[in-house]
Order: sequence, then structure tokens, then C-alpha cells
Amino acid sequence: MTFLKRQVPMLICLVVGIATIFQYYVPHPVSNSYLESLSKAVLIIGGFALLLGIISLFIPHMGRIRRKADGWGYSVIMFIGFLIGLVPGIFSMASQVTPEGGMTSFGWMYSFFLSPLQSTMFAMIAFFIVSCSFRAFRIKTLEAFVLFLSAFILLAGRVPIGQMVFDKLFAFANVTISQVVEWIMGVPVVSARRGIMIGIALGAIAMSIKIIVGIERQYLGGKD
Amino acid sequence: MKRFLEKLSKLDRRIIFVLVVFVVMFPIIKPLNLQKLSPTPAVKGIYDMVESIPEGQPVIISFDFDPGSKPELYPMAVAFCRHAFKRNLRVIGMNLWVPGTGLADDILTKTAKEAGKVYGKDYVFMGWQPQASAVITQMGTDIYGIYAKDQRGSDLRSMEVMKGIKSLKDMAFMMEFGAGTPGIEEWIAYGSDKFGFKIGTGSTAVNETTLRPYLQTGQLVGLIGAMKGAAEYEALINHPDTATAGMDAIGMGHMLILGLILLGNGIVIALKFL
Repeated sequence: MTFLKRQVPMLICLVVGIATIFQYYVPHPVSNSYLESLSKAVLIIGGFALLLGIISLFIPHMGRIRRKADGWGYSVIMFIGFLIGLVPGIFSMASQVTPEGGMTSFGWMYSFFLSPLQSTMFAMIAFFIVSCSFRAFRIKTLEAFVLFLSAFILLAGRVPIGQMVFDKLFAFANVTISQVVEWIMGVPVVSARRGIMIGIALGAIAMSIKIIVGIERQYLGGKD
Repeated sequence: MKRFLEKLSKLDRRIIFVLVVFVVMFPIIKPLNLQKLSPTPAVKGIYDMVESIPEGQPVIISFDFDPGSKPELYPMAVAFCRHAFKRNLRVIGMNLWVPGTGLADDILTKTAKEAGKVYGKDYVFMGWQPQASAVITQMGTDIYGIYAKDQRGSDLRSMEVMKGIKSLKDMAFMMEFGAGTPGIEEWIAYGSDKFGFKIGTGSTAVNETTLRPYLQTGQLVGLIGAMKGAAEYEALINHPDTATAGMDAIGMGHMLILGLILLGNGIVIALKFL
């Protein structure tokens, strides 16, 4: 059993991992066909994973309702919300418009439920950001001053009113605030981002090699 | 004076919330009509790309965002579709974010109706598919292997809009509007870099810095950044709409944030000397 649980999955991982790396550099029909088959397999597994995710979501919420645990009402709301999305979705075949161009029940639910609710949640952040800018942003150190200065230039330089005010104030310097913003975005920001991206990529490569050759075995579950 | 400053430093946040509402609502109700933004090279890159595509060629658009990012991405997606339809390009829509399916459908339907375009002939919406990396990889070799039917359940291969298209390599241009992952980084890694097609993106302000390196290396032909970028694109296609209107509100909001940071720090400094 250990052979089926450990060695076989590790062997599959090793073979598929190496084959997929080579596939990227081999422009041959067999290589393309392999990639297509692999993509389809990933999609099928993804479909099952979605189902598994739904089941994993339901089980703890059903338990909470059965036990009448604290906040069990929210679990009921979760099921109601799920049904509000699912039932019109099935009846409308997940389409929001009818062939005649009208709105289906799913389209109505999306346009007048989901869309405004999500937009509202996101818009709420603006209020907290503004409140925090007054209460929490204290320039006590040199680093905080540099952060404030760049935020100041970017906030002002990206809107017409800021451009108008600052270009008039600093007209003598013969440089517009838009040019300063472009420099900040194009030089220090890109340099920092590139450093982060290279670091992440190296980490991902190292981790992938460890998984392919069997050093990292957490995905098999259990110890070792 | 000291007591007043101490009181001001403990300003009730509800007063700040009211200030935000006033500052944002005022320019929407009564537009300030401030000076127009001049288009940046990043936004112009997308515009020039669309202008350079001959009539009748296909462009594919991936709407990878949800209603949470609607204020930033919806206006630029509408402006881009208007431009593509105005240039008589064939438009193929899809999305990798399931909550964005309705928005994508809405954008395409609205702009196509404005331009008098016919579904299936001039444009199509293929819908959502899970597993972004697998979807992109499959589309790189055979679109119909993953999208046999469109969102409405019709056979995609037989549609006039798909004539001569087998894979992503047959697209004259690919445009992505994304709010995060999966998004443009997947499209570059699994799509454009591997299969060699031209790609551009429209992103939220928070993602713009992440995508700048791709712009500098030429992996992106252009980048429309947030509502500002959308307003610039609206100016380029000479069709001012919601992004242009929203810029005044954003500008006032930014100024309020700056003012409050300065006020908050000014109070702290003043209290030290009193």
C-alpha cells in the first residue's frame, strides 16, 4: 500500500514534471498534443475540485446549524445566498440575457443583488482610507517622510486638480508633476517590483524542483 | 488653542465620512470641468495598436474582474470595445473570473448595440472557464478544445465571427482587463510569451505598479491604469463617459486625503510646541 500511496504518486510527479518542462522548449506536434491532453486533465480535475469545495463549505455550516452554534443564523444565510445564486442560474442556464435580449432571472439577481453588493463593499474602503489618513499616517521617521512624499506626488500628479495646482506652483522648475510621476513609476517602482518578481520566481523554481525530485512531499499528506 | 487642537486631533470619524460623501458627490452632481488629462505613452500604446489593426481582423478580450473593481475597469473596457467596434474589428469576449461573467456580457452587449453590431457575426461572448492556466494553454493550440460553445450554448466553430480562427495565434490583438489573479500575468506567462501574440492590459490602480516591468520589457504593448487611464482612453477615442466624469470626484478625494494627512501631522507638530 505504501508503494501505491507514496512511490507511485512521486513517480508520476517526477515524470510529468520533467516532461512538462521539456514540452515548453520542444515545438513538435507530439509535444503540443501532450500539452493539450494535460490542460484538459487539469480542467476535469478543476471541475471535481469545485464540487469538493462546495461540499467542504456545506459540511461545517450544516454542523453549525444542527448544533445551534453561536452565529448559526449566518450559516442559514449562507445557504439562502447559495440558493439565490444557484436556482436562477440553473433556470436561466447561467445566461443573463435571453436570446431576444431581455434579462433572465439570473441576470436580474446578478445586476441588482451581486453587483451592487460587491461594489458597496469595495466602496466602503474609501471611507476607512480617508479616516486612517488623518488618524494613523504620522511622519515620525525619515522612511515615513519618504513614503509620504512619494504618496503626495503620486496622489496629486494623477488627477487634473493636482496637476493644475502643482504645475502652476512649480512652473519655475520647468518640470511638470506628470513627468515626476512617470519617473517614480518608471524607475524606482519598476526596480523594486522587478527585484520582488525575480525573488518570487527563484523561490517558485526552487520549490518546484524540490516537489519534482521528491524532496518536498507535503502534497502527499501525512508525515515525511 | 491647545484644547482646540486636541479636540481636532480626536475628530469623530463620522465627520470625516460625511466630508468624503460631500467631496465625492459634489463634482458628480455639479461637474467641475477641470483641465483634460494628456494621454500617457502607456495608454497611447493600446490606442495605437487598435488603430493599426486592419478592418475585419479579430481581437480577443478577457474580462478578468468582478463588480468590486467595476468603477475602475468597466469604463475602460467600454471605451476599448467602442474603439474596436468603431474600427470594425471582430470582437471575441471571454472571462476567467466567474463573478465577472455578467459584467463582460453587459459590456459587449451594450457597446455592440451602440455600434449596430450583430451577435455571432461581429462579436461573440464565449463565457467563463475554470483553471486559468489550463484554459490559456489550451487556447494557444486550439480554442475550440476548451470553448466548443459560446455563453448562449451555440456552436462556436460555425459562427462567422470565428472564421479563420483556430488558436490565440490567429488573433490580431489580445486585450485583458484584470483586477488580480488569474489575470494578465497568467496571460503573459502561459499565452503571449509562449505562443507569440500581442497583448495589452487595463488594470486597477493597485495592480499598475506590478505590471510596469512588463510594459518596460515590451511584453505589454500598453497599459490602461485605473480610472485615470480610462479617462485618457475616452479622450483618445473622443467619447467622454463615466471615467471622465469620475476624475473630478477622484481628484477631490485625493486632495481630501492629502489635506487630512497634512492636517493630522500639523496638529501633532503644533501640540509639541504648545
